Amino acid sequence: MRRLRRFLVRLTTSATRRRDEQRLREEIEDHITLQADENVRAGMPPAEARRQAILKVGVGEAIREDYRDEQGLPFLEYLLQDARIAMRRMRQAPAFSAAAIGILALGLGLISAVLSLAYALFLRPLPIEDASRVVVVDQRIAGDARRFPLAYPDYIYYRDHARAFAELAAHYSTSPMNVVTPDGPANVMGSVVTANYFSLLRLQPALGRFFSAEEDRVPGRNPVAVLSHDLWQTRFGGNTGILGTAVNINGTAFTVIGIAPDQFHGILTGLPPNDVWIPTGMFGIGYRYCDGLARGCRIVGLVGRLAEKISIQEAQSEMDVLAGQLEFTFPATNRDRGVEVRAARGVRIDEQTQDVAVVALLAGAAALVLLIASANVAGLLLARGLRRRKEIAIRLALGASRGRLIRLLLVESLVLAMAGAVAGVVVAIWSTGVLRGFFGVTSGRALNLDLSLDPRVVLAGIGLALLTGVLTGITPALQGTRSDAVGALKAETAGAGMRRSTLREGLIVVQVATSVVLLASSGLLVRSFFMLHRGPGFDPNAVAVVRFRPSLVGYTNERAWAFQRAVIQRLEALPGVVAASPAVVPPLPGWGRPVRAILLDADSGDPSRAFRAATTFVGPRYFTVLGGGVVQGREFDDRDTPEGSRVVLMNETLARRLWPNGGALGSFVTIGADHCEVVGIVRDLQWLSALETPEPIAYLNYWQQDRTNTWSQDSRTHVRVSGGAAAMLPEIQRAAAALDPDVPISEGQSLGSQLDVQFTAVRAARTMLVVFGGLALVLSTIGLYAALAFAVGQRTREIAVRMALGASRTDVGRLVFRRGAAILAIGAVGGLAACSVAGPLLAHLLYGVSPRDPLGLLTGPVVLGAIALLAIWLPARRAMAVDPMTALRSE
Amino acid sequence: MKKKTDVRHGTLALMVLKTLDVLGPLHGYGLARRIEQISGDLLTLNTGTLYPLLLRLEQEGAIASERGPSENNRSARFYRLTSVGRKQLQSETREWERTAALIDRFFVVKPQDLT
Repeated sequence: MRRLRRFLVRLTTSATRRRDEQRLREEIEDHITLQADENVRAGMPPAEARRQAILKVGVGEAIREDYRDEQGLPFLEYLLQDARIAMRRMRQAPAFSAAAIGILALGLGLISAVLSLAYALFLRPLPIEDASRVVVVDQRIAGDARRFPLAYPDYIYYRDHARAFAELAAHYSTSPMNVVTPDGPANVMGSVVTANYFSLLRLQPALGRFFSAEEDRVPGRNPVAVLSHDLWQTRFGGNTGILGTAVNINGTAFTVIGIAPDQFHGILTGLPPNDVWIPTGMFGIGYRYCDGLARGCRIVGLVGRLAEKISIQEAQSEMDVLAGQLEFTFPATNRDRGVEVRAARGVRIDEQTQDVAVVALLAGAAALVLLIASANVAGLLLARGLRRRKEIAIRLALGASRGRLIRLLLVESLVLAMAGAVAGVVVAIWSTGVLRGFFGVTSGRALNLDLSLDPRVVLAGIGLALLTGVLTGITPALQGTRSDAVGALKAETAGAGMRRSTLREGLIVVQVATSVVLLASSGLLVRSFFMLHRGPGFDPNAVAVVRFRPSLVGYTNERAWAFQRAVIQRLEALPGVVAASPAVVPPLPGWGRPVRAILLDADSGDPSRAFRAATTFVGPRYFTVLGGGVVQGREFDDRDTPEGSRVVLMNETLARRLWPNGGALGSFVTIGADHCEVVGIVRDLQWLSALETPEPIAYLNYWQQDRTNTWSQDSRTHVRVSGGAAAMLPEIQRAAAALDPDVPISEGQSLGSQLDVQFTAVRAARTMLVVFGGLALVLSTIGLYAALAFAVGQRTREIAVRMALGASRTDVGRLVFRRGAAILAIGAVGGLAACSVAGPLLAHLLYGVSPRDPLGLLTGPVVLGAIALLAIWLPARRAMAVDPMTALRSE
Repeated sequence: MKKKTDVRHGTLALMVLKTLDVLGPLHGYGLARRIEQISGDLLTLNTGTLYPLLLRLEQEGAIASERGPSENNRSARFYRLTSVGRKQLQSETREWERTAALIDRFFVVKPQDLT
């Protein structure tokens, strides 16, 4: 109570700055007068009585300070005062301040950008009202770490029985939709959704209405569609008359009933944006490979809004029970299948697990840069502290307490750090833009991913800046105020700085070591990136890949295949095209290649001896298109007709696996219903990270696919172009459109750019690490130079004495050079040792390069060494140029 | 010459309150002299300690002050104990006695007392 009352009084005094100076002056004056009166009574002459009284009272200023402290809140006031002094000091040394602020801004900005990427990928809620109550539900299979979509009938069961949700909606949000617009067909990503999708998300249409409850009931009855604001504006001219008109989507006429709100692009972030929504009643238009409404066809994702006062855990327990009931009722389809309820945050969880590694790497690298930056600034502050020893000694002599001085110095570094944080926001905005180029875009199209700086990220950055300010300031402050006043005032330079320079040099060692780690890692990634682009022996930039999907517009098989054949002929006739070949997927990692049983004729009696390997379909001259790779035998050609005898190609790994002693060529194997002859062996065509071994693959003939499924209608046609493939793409697409304008064409790009998308992580890590590594190089070199130059400056007298006593200039130069070289060597060895730890962490991003690859590991550090030697040589030269006479006289 | 000691930290407030309680309103100088006198001139009071303390006690409400004429007709600020201060004095006195009694027991204890 007492404390509180006093605090309030002091707070008001502080706030109003109302100082009772008058009162204290009166009190002291009274005190002196009374004391003097008494002295007079004791027999002193009046003048002497007053002098003695004043002596007894003591130094007025010190009393006044104590008194002032009691009146206001000194801590707060001194903090403000210190901040004012710090600002003044910053203005007085603009070069120093600019350097320190710039260095800190780089470190803080980069780490904020990485934080904001992490936030967007893992934490950002959906951009809708009350998003914290929205959850997603995925299928889990016992013993499998992945998440899967669900079957629509299961959704209906959950929707009708779960009480944990206020609403539960189903959606299939990766539906390719070919929309015929006034200026030609647009290939967009659409979403097939239940009627309650928009109301669950609490969205209001920008125009018209959303689906009514009736519109998802009866399959095929209601061809109605909602368009995105963006699509409406860019492709339909923002014409309000669009409501009620028919738009052709995937070959079917849909009535446009509404326009979604601006900026809304569906609920799957990190994927291409949704531009069209159709009700689940029209599932057949959005998905053709199985009946989207059937139990065996698992393609819908679930999104729910939790009922009031229900937690995610409670929803999970209820869903567990319901999933168990489904498993019991439908053992054939639902055995071992459960569900997982989690908050709708960030990108899809399976992509999150891939991204975690990259973000962790980037965050680690950014943290290292921040560490170097902090060490650098701490070094600068230490040096300045040495230069300020005299000032600090005077302050101490005048009665400033050590705590007070430490606080002043800390506030100075905090002010620097905060200024660095502000400047860091600019760096963060810039580097977020760079990151957006990697993570926000696929195949040149923007993803539905908000990568803007979040206030919370900025707050975290400011917190980090405070921490940095304290960490960089504390050692220099402790060091700077330790000196005994007399010593500092007397001994100007001499050897007094030895211990301090040891600390500073320690900081440089840390910087050099950290830079070595960053440079070596970025060297490995750059090497890895080159290896990726050289690929497994062919030039990906010479190959264009275009996807033709007649199945989307409901062609008959005959019509579709006739189209695919005609396209190949037409393309091969184009000047500049070397060869064209249809395939199912590009020869890149991560694409679906179904694993099938391959049975040798020798084992034909025993299917259990079959070997399971990945299979894919490629057309005639496929390896010509890729630029070679046939090791033995031949590749597919026009002899291999749909009706002809079945043929298969194998990669070397598979051939070796099946026939360890050779003899693969000409042998027969059974794959599914087909008895195929091995007509050729091809090289392992894979991009392998340092951790992987080549996968066995069997190539089946595109024209000999099972013709009963609709998949076989579509192709990713590979075209080899002499010269750049990217430049030929428009011509290729024009040629195909001239043949049949109705067939949807998508994904048109060179294999090289597809590769870039696929290896976003490697590219992002490479670019950022090269930037980080370069920064580290510059910062640590500057640090090294500054430390040595400063040491030379401090030791001028010592050097002069040495010279006067007979040391040659070379001796002096060697003295400085040796010191610098020792710092460099210790740092480099430490850094390389740390690389043996960092290397394995990188391994999953290294393709075709070992974590111990000497070229990748050493290039950066060698460059660092060379530049650092220069940074050492300059101060050494300056030391050699010292003129002993001048130096000694000036002291 | 007797050796003068500084005031033990934290006890000056108690001395000030007790002196005001016993002697009634006093000005700062008088208070300082009285305290030195009561201590048998063993204590010497620092002005820089006394006046900030008086201000603090006033902010806490334990004492109040007003200007008035001193004994030889000079104007001075007189401090007096408030009811809050009286209560504080009582509780601090009890506290002190308890501490003193406790410490006393340690001074009188002999090895044979504990066997």
